[in-house]
Amino acid sequence: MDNQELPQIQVELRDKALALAKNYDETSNEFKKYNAIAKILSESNCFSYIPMERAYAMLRDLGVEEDKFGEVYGKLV
Amino acid sequence: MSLKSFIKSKFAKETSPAEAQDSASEEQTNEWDSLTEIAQNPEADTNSPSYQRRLREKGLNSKGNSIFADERITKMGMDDLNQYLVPQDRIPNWQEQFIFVSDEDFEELHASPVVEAGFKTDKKINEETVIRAISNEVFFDKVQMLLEGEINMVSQMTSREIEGFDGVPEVDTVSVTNSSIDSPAQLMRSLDKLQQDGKLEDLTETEAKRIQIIREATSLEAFWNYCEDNPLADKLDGKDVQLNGNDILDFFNKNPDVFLAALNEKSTIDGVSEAELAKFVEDHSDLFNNRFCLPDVARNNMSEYCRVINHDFINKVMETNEPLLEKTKISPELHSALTEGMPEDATNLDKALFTYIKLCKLLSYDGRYMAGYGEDNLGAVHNDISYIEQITPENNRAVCYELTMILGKMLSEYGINFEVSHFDSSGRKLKDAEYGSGHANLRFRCDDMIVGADTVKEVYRSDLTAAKVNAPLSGLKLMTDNEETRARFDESYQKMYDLINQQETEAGSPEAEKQKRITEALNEYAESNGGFEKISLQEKKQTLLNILKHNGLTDIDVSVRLYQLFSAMFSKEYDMQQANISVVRRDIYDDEGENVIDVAVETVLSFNDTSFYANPENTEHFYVTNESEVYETKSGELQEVFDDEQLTIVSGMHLRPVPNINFPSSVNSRNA
Repeated sequence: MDNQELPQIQVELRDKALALAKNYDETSNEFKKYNAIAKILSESNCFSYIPMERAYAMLRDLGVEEDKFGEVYGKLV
Repeated sequence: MSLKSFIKSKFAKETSPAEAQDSASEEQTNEWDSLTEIAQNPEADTNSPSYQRRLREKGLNSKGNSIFADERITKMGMDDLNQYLVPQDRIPNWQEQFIFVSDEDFEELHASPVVEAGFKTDKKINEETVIRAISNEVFFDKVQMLLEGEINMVSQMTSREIEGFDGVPEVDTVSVTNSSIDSPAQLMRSLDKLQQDGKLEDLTETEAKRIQIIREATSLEAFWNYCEDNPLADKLDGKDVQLNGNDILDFFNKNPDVFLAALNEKSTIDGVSEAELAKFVEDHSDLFNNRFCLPDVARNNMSEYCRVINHDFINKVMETNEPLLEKTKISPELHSALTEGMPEDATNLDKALFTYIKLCKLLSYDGRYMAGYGEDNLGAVHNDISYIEQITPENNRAVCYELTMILGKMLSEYGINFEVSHFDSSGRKLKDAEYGSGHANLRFRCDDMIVGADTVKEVYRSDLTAAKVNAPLSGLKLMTDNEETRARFDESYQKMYDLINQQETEAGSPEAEKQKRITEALNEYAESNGGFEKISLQEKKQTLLNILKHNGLTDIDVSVRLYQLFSAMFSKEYDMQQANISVVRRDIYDDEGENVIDVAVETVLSFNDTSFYANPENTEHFYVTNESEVYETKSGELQEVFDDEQLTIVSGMHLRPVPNINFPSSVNSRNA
């Protein structure tokens, strides 16, 4: 795990992903999806490393409102 | 017997020019009388090949117009050639190779069909020129000079006065396409083809004799005789090599299946390696392909041999003659870091590639140098070779001069020869360039490979960046198309790159580990998520501009950050067509506005909903200053700014220009 300090919103999103994952069986697709999101969100500036479409898809999966995507993306990129 | 003598012996008697003229005139007069009679006969076939050749004999084309240009045009053309042909490129008798044709004749020549003779790679000649070569005395005189080696070709030219760009009359002298006799063998092969196609019927005695002269001069027998008297010589990697042309012909004049099967084993002539033989054949290809008509089988086998056997390294980078090598001192820390982890059983190529990759991973480009171009103390240290010793893994900013010399120094330690070159902003090699001028890179020789190494080919997409994210390196270039050699090079490159990446991961390099973690997680996410929605260009653009407002960066860091964001947000589908990022320089003047006291490296972002090139009027530009201020503009206004040189494009090597903007020829460019 990256030791750099993460923005608050990133920590909240990561924790939300971990919480969502717990709702599913470990072998299920949904568990893998949220687990993967949590791993990505554990890294600083994570969105700098992945295509923007993937980043938006993650925000959508975490229930972030569409009109907030740009703002949140800007904080995580 | 020399070729010259051989040809001269073919005429039954020596005639004086006057006699030749008289007898030719007499023969022509008699024949012209016949032609006149034919012309007067309404049933005469004026389109028949033989009638047409009679016209050529008289110096007339099919329309009855003179082939030859008048004296004035010929002189005008020769004077024009004299002006622009580079003196040192001229051969003796260079003027003799030209025949100036009239303007009326130009179209006829141009329309004449090409003779499909020889190989696809052989230069082509049109039927009209072949006919003239045997039917017209002026042309055949030139052919004889060609056969005797007094000229290299026979070229038909036109010359005319045209209106220049500024309204001043200019002379335009051009050669007519496919209307040159490039070699004796080309002419003979074309004559054979025309005869096969029945287009050389009813030859006169003179024409038949001329064909025979050409045939004998280009025959296999003529080749044998030539080779007996003239051993072929070449210098190959410092070694003087002499081979007999007949031995070479015997080697190649074999059934292709047999020959190609032998290629799988070591197949060459005693005394030379395969590569040396291939290079020898290539260097003498004019003899084998153009002076004599050798069997197609032999020519084909020679061509295949040169393709299959790598010889591109011969006579290149045979030694290191770099005057600055002694002055190049590498710090112990950097030296240790460059060699750490190198396998003990590494070949020379492995060592070279390992060092190059390590160099790109350890050092970074100093953007201050690009912005300041060595002026105003911004990056000026990089113009001093003694600065190399201060470069370490911690103090790791460098530019092309240091990167090149560090690599060269390491290569010489391994016993690998190299040579450094400097280039100007348009890619032209600079002669006798000093350290710190233009752009520097090197090429080195490893066994049978010549490899180009350019760490900073493109400033913002250099191998210094690529290596740090384990992306493919584009600055290494193997200079051969030989497939087997390329496979060996690729294997060594991949082996060394994988080894270094593995060592990094094992050593716990933070960046490498982070990259790996994110990539693995992203793959897991992609597997479980299915498709992804596309994001519109407008939305991406707006997000980028919003991020800019709050980033708080200054100076070159703004450009660097923008570039990182741009790379993440705009995938290749937008690249070059709808979204673009360019780097620009703005000079900062003193209060009087006279002296440049500082420079700013800034950015222009450009967007177009459809395509820069299809709908340029829709392009939006955003000029982003080094304080993250954003100014929206259109192409017209931005063009004015570049025209006035308030901004200049940092074009270096392959940095992209701003789309839909024309750059004046005097635009400043900054080299890396």
